[in-house]
Amino acid sequence: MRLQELILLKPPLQPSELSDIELVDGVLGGVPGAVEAFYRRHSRLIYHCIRSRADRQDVDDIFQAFFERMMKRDYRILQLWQRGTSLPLYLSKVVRNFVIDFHRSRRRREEPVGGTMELEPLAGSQPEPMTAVTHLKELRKVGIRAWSVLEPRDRRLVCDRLHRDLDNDTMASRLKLSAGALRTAMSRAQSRYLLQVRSLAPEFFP
Amino acid sequence: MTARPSEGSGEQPETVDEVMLAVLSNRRRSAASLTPQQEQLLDDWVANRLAPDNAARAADLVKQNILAAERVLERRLQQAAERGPSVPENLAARVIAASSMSNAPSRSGRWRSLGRWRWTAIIGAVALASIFLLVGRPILQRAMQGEAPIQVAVATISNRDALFEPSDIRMRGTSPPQGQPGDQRFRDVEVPTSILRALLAAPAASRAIQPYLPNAGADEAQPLHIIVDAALKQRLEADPGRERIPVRIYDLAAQRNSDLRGIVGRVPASGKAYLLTLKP
Repeated sequence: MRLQELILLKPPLQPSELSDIELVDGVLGGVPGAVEAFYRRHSRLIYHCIRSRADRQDVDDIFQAFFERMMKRDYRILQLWQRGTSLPLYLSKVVRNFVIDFHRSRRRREEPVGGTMELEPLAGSQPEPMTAVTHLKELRKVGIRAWSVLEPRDRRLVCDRLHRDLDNDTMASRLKLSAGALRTAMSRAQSRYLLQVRSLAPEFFP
Repeated sequence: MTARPSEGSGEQPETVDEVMLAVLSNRRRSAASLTPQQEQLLDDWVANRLAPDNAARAADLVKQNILAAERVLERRLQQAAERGPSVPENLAARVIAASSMSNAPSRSGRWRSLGRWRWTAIIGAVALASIFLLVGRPILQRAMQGEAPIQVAVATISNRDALFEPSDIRMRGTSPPQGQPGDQRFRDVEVPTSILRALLAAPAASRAIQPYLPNAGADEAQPLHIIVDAALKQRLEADPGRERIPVRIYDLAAQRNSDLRGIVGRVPASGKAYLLTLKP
């Protein structure tokens, strides 16, 4: 049997078997059922990202508005997704920006005329192509912001552990702490650090 | 602003989230593709299914490799979404209904996107094409077939002996011998002077002479070479008010008119050639 015949006999892929690239191509190409398949796969993640950043009473409205805008703009946001990178991470960033825009537009309606808000439309809102490095850079910025609000000793502990790779003995001698005290101090410092990270990037936490 | 609780506040630190700490400490030193085993290791780590030594291996990989950190971050995001509440059913139904409604018109959107002005242009183009087919088709066919050119030359014949025909002899008291037209090597016709003048003025535009020519037929695709006797031309010019004039026409391609080819000069081999002269 020839290869072409084998291909013809192969049953069509189920939506659950499609990769994100195939799924997005289907949505952009107007393939029947592709939008529904995209919704089934990613709606929960989108809902979670909105829920983690918006007030509870706004979540449903933002969720619906997000999909309405996607449809209205012919899924342009999916055209901008760089193939090969993580679609869930990309969507999380898109949703985050959408929620921020939602809050800004609400504030704009409530603010009097004037102010720097009027300059924002001129600033250009073209999303830049996102890669794995971009995601990590952003998370790194989040980490720096979270680290910057810690107490000096916590900052030092977190820095020694995460970026200097110092072992416990070295850290204990530098801080003049016993091994047990260091473990407790380190555990608390990391917890406080993660609490700050969580407040800045809540979508990555359950 | 600090996040440090006061001493003795009784705050219990959360369980340290090693996965997020590893991602936050990624140094972006490597972007090597992950093997299936590495992917499995990372997925198991995020799902908290690893023993401590394997967890340390996974943490080291995430700290060094960008793609490992990205994968872990993605799994982490999905895990958080799965643990959160699902989309309310009524909301999901609204969004899916809106998407199916927006899908159907998008396929016919290509037609709608043509717009009113483009539709007008298309209808106009179709109408023009129909008019062209109805009216212009015969013209086009004629143009495609092509009319062969008519070449006209005026020749001064110094020795007119060859043009003498026995049938021109008239004897007193007897009627002139009338041979059958098929027996004669020429054709005597009366031609409107307007046709001859048009032929001499603009030969390419005038094919009105063609019906008078012997053996010319209606084949317009064949080139015609017409040699007009200078004497005939002088007669036309001398009597401008005359409507018709007797003309003798010789078919120069005929074998029995071969003697005439010498007196009119070079005759083209292709097409048909005629000599138009005065009828004595």
